[in-house]
Amino acid sequence: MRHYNHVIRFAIILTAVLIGFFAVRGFIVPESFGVYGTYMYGYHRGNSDSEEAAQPILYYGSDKCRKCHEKLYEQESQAGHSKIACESCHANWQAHNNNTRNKVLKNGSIEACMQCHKKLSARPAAFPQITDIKQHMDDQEQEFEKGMECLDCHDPHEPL
Amino acid sequence: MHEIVTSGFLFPNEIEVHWSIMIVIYPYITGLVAGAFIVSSLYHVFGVKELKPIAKFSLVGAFCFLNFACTPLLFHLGHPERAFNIMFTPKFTSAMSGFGYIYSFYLVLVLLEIWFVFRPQIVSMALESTGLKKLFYWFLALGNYDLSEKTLAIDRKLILFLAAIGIPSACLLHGYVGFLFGSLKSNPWWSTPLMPVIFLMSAIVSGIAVLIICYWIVMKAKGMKPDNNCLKCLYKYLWGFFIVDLTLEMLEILTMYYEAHEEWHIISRMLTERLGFSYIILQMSICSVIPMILLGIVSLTNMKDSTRNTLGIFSSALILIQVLAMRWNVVIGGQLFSKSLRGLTTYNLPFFGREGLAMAVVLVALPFITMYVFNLILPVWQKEVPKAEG
Amino acid sequence: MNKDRRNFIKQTGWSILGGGLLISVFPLLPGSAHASKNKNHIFAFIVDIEKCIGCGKCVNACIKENSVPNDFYRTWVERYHILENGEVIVDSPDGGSDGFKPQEFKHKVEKAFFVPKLCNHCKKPNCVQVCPVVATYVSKEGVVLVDDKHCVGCSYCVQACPYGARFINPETRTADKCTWCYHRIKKGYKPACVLVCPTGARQFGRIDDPESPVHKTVKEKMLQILKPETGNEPMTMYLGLDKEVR
Ligand code: HEC
Ligand code: HEC
Ligand code: HEC
Ligand code: HEC
Repeated sequence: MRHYNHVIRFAIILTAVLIGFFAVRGFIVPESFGVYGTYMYGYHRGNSDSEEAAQPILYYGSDKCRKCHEKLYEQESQAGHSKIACESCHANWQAHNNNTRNKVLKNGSIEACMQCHKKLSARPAAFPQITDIKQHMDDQEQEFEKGMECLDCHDPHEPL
Repeated sequence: MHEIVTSGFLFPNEIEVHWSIMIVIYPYITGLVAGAFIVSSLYHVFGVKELKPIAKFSLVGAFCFLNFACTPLLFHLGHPERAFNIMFTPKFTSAMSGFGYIYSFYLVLVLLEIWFVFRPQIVSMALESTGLKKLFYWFLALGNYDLSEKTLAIDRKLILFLAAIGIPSACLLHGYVGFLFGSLKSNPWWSTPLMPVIFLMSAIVSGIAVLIICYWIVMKAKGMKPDNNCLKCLYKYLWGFFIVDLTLEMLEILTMYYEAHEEWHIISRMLTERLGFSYIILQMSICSVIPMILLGIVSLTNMKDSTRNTLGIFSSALILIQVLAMRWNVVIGGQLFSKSLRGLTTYNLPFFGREGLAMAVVLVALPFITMYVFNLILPVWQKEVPKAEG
Repeated sequence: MNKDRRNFIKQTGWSILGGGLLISVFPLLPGSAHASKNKNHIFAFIVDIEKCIGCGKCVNACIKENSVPNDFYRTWVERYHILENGEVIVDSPDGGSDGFKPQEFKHKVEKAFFVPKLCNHCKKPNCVQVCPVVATYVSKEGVVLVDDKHCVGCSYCVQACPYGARFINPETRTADKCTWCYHRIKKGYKPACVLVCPTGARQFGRIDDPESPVHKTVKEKMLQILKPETGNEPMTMYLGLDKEVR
């Protein structure tokens, strides 16, 4: 045994390191780790999904707008844009809530309509598209004037 | 900095190359460990007597490289301070989470073996020195000065045992690094069962090559004569392993070419348009064909020692470049083409910064500096105390 | 020497045996290398390619809702043009967040369509399999989530995802990806991209709930998934997917 003395010393140090490892591990690993199971599929930091779920919501959906903009809501739900959420065209409710009269909220420019209605080869053929406003005027057999906008003839909430 | 040049279509998240040069030198350094350890085991376990002059040095080399095998990873991680999570909360299905354990196991193993090999030397240094220095060596010897014949016999047995389990461990360590890449089914350039074997073979090759060069430089620096038998033997092993390595690399690309899965068209474009220099020129021609021929000549014919050494060392240097190029082509290459198989991006290597070229050079140099320091503490090339050898 | 040999053989034998035992234990651990067997994948996400008009409202809403950093996308829209000569041209400028501009080609366009992409929330997610620290996992509901307080940022999962859905968030330096708006669906809201989609090209809901918009589709329609060969079994499914889509 005497001849193994040095080996034993090394072994003691190794054991100490190992114990140290587990001690530090116990200290560092979050408590909720593995509450859904050990070492296989439930194994993760248990609180992380509730933390993820606690993120604030920005987009609340059209029902939220209905409370205060009842008329527009009704108007929109009748027409061609009925399937579009208010927050698609306007900023989200969170932004509105923080800043009631924010001008960014509404964009009636030609580009805004064209983002959805511009003629693109990749768009489904059944979707109403127009090449540009001039062409659109020609189709209506109307005179195109400079400065004309979509909103001159269409209401964004009740386009036709 | 340069603009990232893309061609074709990439998923928008793929434009940036996530695994940088750090992930290139990580398998490179790990490979040097495995190779150097195999050389020491050739002597300790397989009894290749010619390698005796370099047996101790190769072990020290393996140890020094091993110390820095993980460092590039730390420089790459988004949260290096959480690095120990890999061992604290491992996921058993993850190839990567095993690395912490395999690495630590191997580190302990090499440390133990080195300790047993150097124990007589540590003890004699402790007995010779005084003051703080003595305390230091006393500590290294763990306060045990027992050098009796019986104890040394035990040491020899343990060295043999450690070297023996060290071989599968070294293979595991590096085959495992290959598995990290080879097991990713999402990437057709990586996902091949040959990957671990190729990594292992190129690791051994690079380890032998770096030992040849280091040995030669150290001998020149110390004004000693290198042992030509030992070098000759190393050239032979280098040649042998390199043949296997290159064959596997060729087989891999040939299979890919011949099978011509849907990804082949983008891989071939990647190889020609993006890796033309590092793959076609470096890895597959200049740095493979030349050393292959030269080493063949060196191993099969008789020639003047000086000529042989010139050719051998030249080939070793080329092989070191070949293996580095291979790591680059695997790691960076695998990220240059889109997983949509429709486009290529570029990797711009920054010079400065956490993941820059300068840092990479420093990290590759560190093991060599450690080797130098190690030699200051425990002279590797001491002739006396031959008893200690296993 | 002879004794050494014998010892060596003995010891090697033991270590091989030990190693073998160690390895053979792994498959015995509950669950194989994949699959979240005990998880209910109760949600499905349906993308109807024939309805998508490529307006990019979804990408925009996602960026705002989840504060996605610049130049990375949790969801994006790709545009495919398949030309008469067989050429396939794909683009996704800024992930499609500002819509698309008309494009001219030398050859006639045979067909063209938009493909919205997002995390597939696979049943056998590659990314979860490879994460070394269990920072990404399948939640009780079958949603693949990232724990950004535990993630070490090794980007192994980014490499493992066959769909390019993951990225390293430059602000948190951890992995990031679509969560199907976990914080919203937990409170009964639709994911932001689904909410703002003007045409209903994106549908999300519980599979087992007859009221939900995806219930009928999943039960009755012919659905396709991306890269089925990976065996990941995505829960994001496509209607009218073209063979050219990867
Ligand atoms: C709590 C009540 C309330 C709710 C809910 C609400 N709004 Fe408003 N909204 C207002 C008020 C008040 C104004 C200011 C009206 C005014 O000054 O004429 C306004 C103005 C607007 C404007 C015009 C801003 C301008 O610059 O003229 C828009 C667009 C708008 N809201 C959109 C929305 C949308 C979209 C929602 C749903 C997400 C919504 N609102 C929900 C109260 C509400
Ligand atoms: C297709 C895009 C679109 C949708 C969908 C839409 N809006 Fe608007 N909305 C507009 C535009 C454009 C304007 C600016 C009209 C103008 O400048 O005259 C506007 C203006 C408004 C205003 C300012 C008052 C006004 O009449 O000028 C309110 C309030 C408003 N919208 C509420 C809503 C609500 C509530 C919904 C959902 C039911 C909704 N919007 C849906 C595009 C849209
Ligand atoms: C978010 C995308 C989007 C925006 C922005 C948008 N639209 Fe639309 N629009 C639609 C959709 C979807 C339809 C319904 C198409 C259908 O029924 O197939 C539609 C239909 C229409 C129609 C035809 C209605 C009908 O009953 O057939 C008109 C006209 C129209 N939009 C005008 C506009 C104008 C003007 C604007 C700019 C204020 C605008 N749209 C902005 C998505 C959009
Ligand atoms: C001069 C008035 C006028 C202006 C300005 C105008 N439109 Fe129209 N638009 C019409 C009329 C009228 C129709 C109905 C045509 C029909 O029913 O055949 C129409 C129809 C449409 C349709 C439905 C087409 C279809 O095939 O169903 C869309 C989409 C549309 N407009 C979008 C726009 C957009 C976007 C703009 C702005 C760039 C715009 N319009 C500007 C008068 C106008």
